[in-house]
Amino acid sequence: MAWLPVAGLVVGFLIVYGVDVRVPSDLASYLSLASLAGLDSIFGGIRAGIEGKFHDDIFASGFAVNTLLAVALAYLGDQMGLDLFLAAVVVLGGRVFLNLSLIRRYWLTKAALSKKMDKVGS
Amino acid sequence: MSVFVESIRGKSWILKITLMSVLLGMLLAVSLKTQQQVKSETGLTTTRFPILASTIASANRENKKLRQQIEELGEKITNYENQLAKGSGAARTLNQELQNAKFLAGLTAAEGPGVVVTLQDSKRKLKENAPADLPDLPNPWLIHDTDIQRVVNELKDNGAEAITVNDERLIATSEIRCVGSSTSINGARYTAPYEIKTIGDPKTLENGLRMRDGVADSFPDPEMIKIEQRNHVVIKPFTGSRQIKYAKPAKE
Repeated sequence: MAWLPVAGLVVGFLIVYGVDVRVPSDLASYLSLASLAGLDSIFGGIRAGIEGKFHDDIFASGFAVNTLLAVALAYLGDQMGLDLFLAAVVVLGGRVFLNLSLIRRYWLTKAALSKKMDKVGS
Repeated sequence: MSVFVESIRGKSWILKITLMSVLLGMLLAVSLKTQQQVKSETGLTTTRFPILASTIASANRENKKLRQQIEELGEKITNYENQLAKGSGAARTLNQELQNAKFLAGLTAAEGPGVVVTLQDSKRKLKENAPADLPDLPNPWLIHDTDIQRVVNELKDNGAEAITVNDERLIATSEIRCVGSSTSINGARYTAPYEIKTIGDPKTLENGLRMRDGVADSFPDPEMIKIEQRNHVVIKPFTGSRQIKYAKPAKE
């Protein structure tokens, strides 16, 4: 059950990788930003789920809004001659690290707890 | 670790996360594919484009300056030749022959009446579904090297005395060759629109192009070719490098 998201990732990847998709190369960098926003939403969602604070609307809207904002910033930056997309990359990437470390903590803490409980029980 | 897995078993949010993962997987695949495509076409990912663009721009500026220098030096040489020839009859005759030869070789600027032909890509776009078995047909709405060649050929046939394409003087060994999405003329790259200047009789030159079923009619969109007669056309000299490595004067 816990490995379902990973399976989902692989399935989604394979579905599209086999098909011959042509995207105009101008959109290439925007797509990469969308992927990063998606990654951030997923890890944020996993962390919220572990904490018991998962909300459907927040999760779904989070991905959509973050992606739109990141792409809008990148586009505005292109027009202005400023690398605004960097802001999106830094923040989204930073949050991925943050969420991942929290998930790791929960994982290891529960593992340590289970070990203690086993000891206490026996 | 089993406590962790227990605590998240059966929670509904896992399914939603999974759904989003599928979407993310698809996005990643598209991103990867696009970058691979870009890399195979240009040899680098899109992040390097801006840097290269500015490098190209500065190289172009440098090029322009150098060409101007070449033109000015060429004029100086002609002046010195003319100066040296003053006085002696023999020198003057020889110099006249020299200047004529230089003109024919495309080494000196020229001016006179003629036409200016402008070739540009049509605004119409090729429909997205090219026939599956012939995906590489040349796009009829774009100007190809063969179009420029045909125009130049027709002009030559109608009395053109000097021809430049985008200010590149055509000499005997000039090529007009397709290089990817641009055209190589005298070793330099150009893209549409192409401005072809010629010195000759303006009427003859235009009529030659506008013959029924001639060059002008061969363009699917009449907007692609514009012909303008002019009383005064300035033709720039050849500014490329000429190296003669193999040819030698033939021994009589």
